[in-house]
Amino acid sequence: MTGLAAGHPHSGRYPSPPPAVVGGGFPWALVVAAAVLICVELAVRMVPAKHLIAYERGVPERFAARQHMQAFGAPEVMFVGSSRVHLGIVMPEVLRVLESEVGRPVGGANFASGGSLVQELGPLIEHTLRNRPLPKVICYGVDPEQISRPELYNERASVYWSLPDWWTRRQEFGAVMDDYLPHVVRNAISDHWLTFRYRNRPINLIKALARGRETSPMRGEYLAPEHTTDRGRTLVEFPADEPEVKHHVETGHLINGVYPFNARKIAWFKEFIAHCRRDGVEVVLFEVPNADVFNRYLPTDVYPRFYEYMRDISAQSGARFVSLDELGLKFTDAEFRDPVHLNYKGAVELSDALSAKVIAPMLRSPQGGERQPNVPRKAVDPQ
Amino acid sequence: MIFNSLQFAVFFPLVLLLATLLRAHVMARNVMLLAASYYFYGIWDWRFLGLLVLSTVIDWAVGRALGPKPVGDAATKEELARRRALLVVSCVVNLTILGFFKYYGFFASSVVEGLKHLGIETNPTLLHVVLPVGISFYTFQSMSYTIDVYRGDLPPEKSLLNFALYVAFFPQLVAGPIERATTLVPQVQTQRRARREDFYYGFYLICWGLFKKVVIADNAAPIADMVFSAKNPGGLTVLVGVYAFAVQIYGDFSGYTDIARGTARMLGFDLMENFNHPYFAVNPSDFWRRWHISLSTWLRDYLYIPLGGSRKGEGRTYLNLMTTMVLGGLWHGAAWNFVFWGIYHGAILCIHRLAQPSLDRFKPRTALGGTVWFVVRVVFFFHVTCLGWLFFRASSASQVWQMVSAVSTRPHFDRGVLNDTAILTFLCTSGVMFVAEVVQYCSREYAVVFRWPAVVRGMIYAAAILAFALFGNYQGVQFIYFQF
Repeated sequence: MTGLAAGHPHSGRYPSPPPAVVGGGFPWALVVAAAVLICVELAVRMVPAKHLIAYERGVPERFAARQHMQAFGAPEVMFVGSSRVHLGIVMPEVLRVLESEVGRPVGGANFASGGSLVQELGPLIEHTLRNRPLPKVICYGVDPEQISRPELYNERASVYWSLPDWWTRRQEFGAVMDDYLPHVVRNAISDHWLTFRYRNRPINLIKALARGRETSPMRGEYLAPEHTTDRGRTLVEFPADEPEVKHHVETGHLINGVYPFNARKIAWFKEFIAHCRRDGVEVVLFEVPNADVFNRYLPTDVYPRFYEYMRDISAQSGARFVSLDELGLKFTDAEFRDPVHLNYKGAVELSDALSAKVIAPMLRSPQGGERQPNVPRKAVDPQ
Repeated sequence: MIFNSLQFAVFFPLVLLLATLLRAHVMARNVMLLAASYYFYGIWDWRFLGLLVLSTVIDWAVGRALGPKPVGDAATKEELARRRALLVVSCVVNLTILGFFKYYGFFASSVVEGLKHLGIETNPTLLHVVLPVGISFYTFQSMSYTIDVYRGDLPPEKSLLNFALYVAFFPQLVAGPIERATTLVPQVQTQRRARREDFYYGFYLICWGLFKKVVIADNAAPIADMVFSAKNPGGLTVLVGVYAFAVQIYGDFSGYTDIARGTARMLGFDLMENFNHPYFAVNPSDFWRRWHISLSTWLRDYLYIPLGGSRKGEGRTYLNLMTTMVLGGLWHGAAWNFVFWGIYHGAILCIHRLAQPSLDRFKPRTALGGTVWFVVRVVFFFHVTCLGWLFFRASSASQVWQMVSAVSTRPHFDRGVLNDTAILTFLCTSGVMFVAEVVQYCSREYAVVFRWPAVVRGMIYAAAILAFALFGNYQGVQFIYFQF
């Protein structure tokens, strides 16, 4: 065959001799390699952590949350939840209102990330409670999706696990947890090898330099990208495609037309709130809104049941549940950027109401005494 | 079990330790390696071990029944007919297993579709047969043994244990190289002692293979996935996606081969080279001497040459080339895109054969001219290869057409399709591969780094470890060729 002429390795090259290593006695090359790696690690350790944490939407933002907590401990006020909280809370606004209400600077961070449900936020909160300082208040944005759907753990939850955490889950759920072991081993390595911990930073830095600004909004130093570049977007100007929303609700949120509330997830809520309160951390469960165009395709009993579950969790665990009605908020299409996310205007309203009416009184209470802030005093909008 | 998994990181050192302890006892070592190989394979789905064992036992038994090739008076007509019948049994059994598990669904659904186009509606019950991992590799490997014994190139193996280990040897079981019995069986029969140089070289191959897989291929994969799943991507986006797939498939498959060769080398075994810088090929003949060498030589020795090769006139040569390449394409998978890929490669081999006399007349007069002419041919043929990858990766003929027309009519780049981080990571990692390939190619040594001073070597090792840490994709992505 034209392409398969003689000269291939079957023409008598067995056994092929291995190449000899120059100076093949003491492994000097490995010593040099180890020295280089140690130098890099020392250099990384000399750089302040805030310059090393890479932020990007998706899985990297989970790593960013983990790294923030490892480097600084938890902030005084910490938000968790899904993208509804990520876009529904404007951290610079929260910090501004809290400072004016409490009379001192307050540290805060928004560790909410797209797609996060309780099975992921439980491990995040466990991770938070292992680091110091502890937060004073954890504000968890909830909507019915948080306690629905059958799936339990996923790869993103393992971002926050230690080896013992993984082992506990493995004993409960069996070999299906083995898929997450590599992630947990990665976490264990990154706990000690900071070059590896901050591995996303080089590419992120190139991008940040290209854009001319940093983009991490987690600790309130910057606004989320959607709050700067696209802040005026509303459902009035860009109406949702109703058939698409209907299809999304029917295929992504319902199972055979039924909203699948999940008892295991409700139990997890109670467990982690109890854990927080044992450590002296207050938990606020606050409702995050969906637009009418989304809610109208949910079965009519979803919200009454959701409120019932939340009030039950609240009564049993001692965490406060705050509905939108209690905050005096009613959102219209002018405050949504899409069917499930508030736009900047809506997010500022929610942030202001929650900060002034719920969080500030908790910080002013005798249990919420003075504490040093661990974030920059002023929040800055780079725009 | 895949090479880039924690399981393998525990499995292999254990096997290596046991193989070292048992190195003086060939039978005990072979029992251990066979058990380890079956465990390695059975981890996916232990039920498919039955197929592997069936294929092994039948080919071993056929080999024994064939016996040594008769010569002189022993070569009677009846004896030759008996041997031919035995060979047919082996081929039919192997190809039936392969055909059922790999091609049944494809042919059945193609027939249904064909009838539908003729206006005949059928509604047969199609079986959804699960494809056993590596079936194409071990079937070809096992078949080559019976053919070699039939031809008298190899005496039949007496020990079922040795033969079973030859078929199932875990480093190359699921994705090759497709070893020949003439080279691997003698190694299985004898004591194997890995020298320090073997150990170093094996470890080097494993590390470089893992690097190619985890750092290079798995960072190119998201780009290719994004482009091939995009609706109407622009021409530049298509080019980026196809380049990414070219990098991915090479890094993935050659990385697998390096790890396979490295693990075998550390155990004292020597597997064949499967790649020889294929993207430096200057024409299709050259490409097939460099890409998946164990398959291309298998096809040459057991298909192309028996069909008549180039001995039966020009027309027949072209027909043989096309037949071989189409079947080679179909070997990759039961889908039309692999058939088209085979046709494409058959066609460019034929065109090259036709054009070769004219091309040979052009000889640059200076060294610089020679280098420039070489680079031009390499770049040109790389793009010819990439067009082939488009057939290989696309999900339909219409997607191929859409992408080719996008390159010629809509040469823009869609920022929305590709993620910045993925692109930057891909550029960094494929840049590393490009430099490494150039250095290896120019020095004509795969482990050229061994010849460099310890300080330089140490810096390179450190850079590689850092690249692994910073850019490695640790999602445990499957090797592409496992599906074949």
